[in-house]
Amino acid sequence: MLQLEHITFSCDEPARVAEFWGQLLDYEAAAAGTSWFATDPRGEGTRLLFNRMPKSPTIELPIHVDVSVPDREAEVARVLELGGHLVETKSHSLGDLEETWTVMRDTEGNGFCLQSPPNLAQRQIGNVTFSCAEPRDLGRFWATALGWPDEEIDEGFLQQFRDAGVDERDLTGFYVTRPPNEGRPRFLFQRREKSRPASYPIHLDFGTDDREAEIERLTAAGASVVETKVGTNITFTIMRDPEGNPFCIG
Amino acid sequence: MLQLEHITFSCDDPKRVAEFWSELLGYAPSEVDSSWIARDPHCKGTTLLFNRTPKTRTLQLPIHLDINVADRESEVARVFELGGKLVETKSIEIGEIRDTWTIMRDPEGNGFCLENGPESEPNHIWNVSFSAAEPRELGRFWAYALGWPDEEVDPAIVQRFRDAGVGEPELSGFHVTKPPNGGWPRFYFQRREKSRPESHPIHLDFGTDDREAEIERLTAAGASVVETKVGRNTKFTIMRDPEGNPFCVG
Repeated sequence: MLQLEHITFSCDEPARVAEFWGQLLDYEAAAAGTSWFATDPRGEGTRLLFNRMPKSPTIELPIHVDVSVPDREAEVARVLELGGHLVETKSHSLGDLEETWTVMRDTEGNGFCLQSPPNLAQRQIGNVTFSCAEPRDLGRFWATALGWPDEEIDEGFLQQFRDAGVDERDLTGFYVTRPPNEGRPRFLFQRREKSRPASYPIHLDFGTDDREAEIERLTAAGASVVETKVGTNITFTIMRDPEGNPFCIG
Repeated sequence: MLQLEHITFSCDDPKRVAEFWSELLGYAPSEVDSSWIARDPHCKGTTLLFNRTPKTRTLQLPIHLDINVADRESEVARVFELGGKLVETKSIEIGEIRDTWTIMRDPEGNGFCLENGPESEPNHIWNVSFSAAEPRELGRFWAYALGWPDEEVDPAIVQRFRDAGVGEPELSGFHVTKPPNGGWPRFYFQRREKSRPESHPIHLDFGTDDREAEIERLTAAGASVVETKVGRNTKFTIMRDPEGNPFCVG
C-alpha cells in the first residue's frame, strides 16, 4: 500500500511558500538543503515539501488542497495578511444541500479552498482534490493504491440530487475516498476540465514497504511508470495515475 | 465586419432541442431540410440553428449561453418541465460584489446559465460566454471581428476587486464586448479551462458583405482558416479564432 508522505509544491521561492503554508496550517517551516518542509508539530497533519522546481502555468490545477478552518471569514482576512490573494467566495445549492467556500491563492498563485466544516477545533488539510474526467474510476484507483475502503456514494445522498432535478450524468460527477480511521486528508474527485501542464505545480509523494511490488500492483490497476531516479540515499519512481497525474513512490 | 447570424447546436435529435430552446426563449421552431431553426418572432433575439451533426463529449463547454430571465427560480421549475436538468445554483461573492445564477442542461446535456435580468425584458440570450486562456486578447479579437467598440474593463470594478484582496491572474481574468447599440447578446470571456473537443457542440455562424476580404482581415488578426465548403446555394468558410474555437463565415 501507499502511505502519503508529503504534498509537494514546485516553487520559485520555497522559503516564502513554506512560510505561508506553515502559518496557514500552524505548521513549522524548516529548510532541508535547498528545499523547505512544513511539518505539523502535533504529528497529525500531512507534511508539505517545497522544492525549487519548474512549474507550468495552469488555469485549473489538476490537484489542489482544501483547507478546513474553524472560522472561514476570519481566515480569509488572515490569508490576505500572509500575502495570499482572494479569488472568490462561492456557494452552491442543490435542493436542500448548501455549501460555501472561499477560493484563494498562495504567494505563488496556487489555488486552494478554505471551508469551515462544523465542530472543527484546529486548522487542517481536509481534502486533496482532483479535477478529473471520471471521478469514480479515478477515485477507486486511489482507494486501491492507498488500501482505503472502496465505498459507494450514499444512495440517500444521490436521491436528494435526483429529487432536486440533477441530471444522471452529474450524479457520477464526484467521489470521495477516505482513510479507514476517519483521518484526514480525504481524497476528493470532481468532474472538471483541468489544465495539462508539462510540470505539475503540486504533486503527491508516497512511501511504500516494497517499491517494486507496488509498481507492479499499481500498473496492473491502470497507472504507468515514467522513470526511476536513483540518488545517493534514495531511490524513487515517478508514476502517473490513470488520468495522467504524476506521483512519486519511494 | 461579421454579423452574428445564428448560434448553431450540434444535435442527435434537432427537433427535440429546437423545441426546448424555443419554449425557453419564446421563439418559433421550424424545420428546414434536415435541420431545425428557432427564430424570435419579434426579430430581436439571435436565431438558433439545430443540425444533426456529431459532437464530442465535453467536461467544460468552450462556448455556452447565459440566459437572462425575469424570475430565475420559477424559470428553473419551467426548465424541468421542458426536459432540462439542474447542475447547481451558484453564488459568488468578491468583496461587495455578489452574483447568483443557476447552471442547467438542455435535453442533450448542453450546459447553460440562468440569471435574473430586468423584469420588463422577455427571456433572452444575454451572453455568449467563452472559456478562454486569455480573456482580454480573445475579447479584443472578437470586438475587432464584429466591429464592436474595443472597451477597457471599467477601472472602478477592477479597483473594487483589488480592494477585496483579488490579485492576478483574476484581475485580467474576464472581458466583455458588446454591440454599440446597447443590444444583446454580449460576448463574455472568462479565464477557464475548457475542453478541446474535436467537434464543438455549439458554434457561431456569421454573415459578411465580402467573405474573402473578411477572411483576410481576420487571419491578419490571429484567426486561421480550416476549409471552405461549397454547397448548392451557399458557400462558407470554417475558421478558428486565436484560441481554436471554430466559427463559420458565409
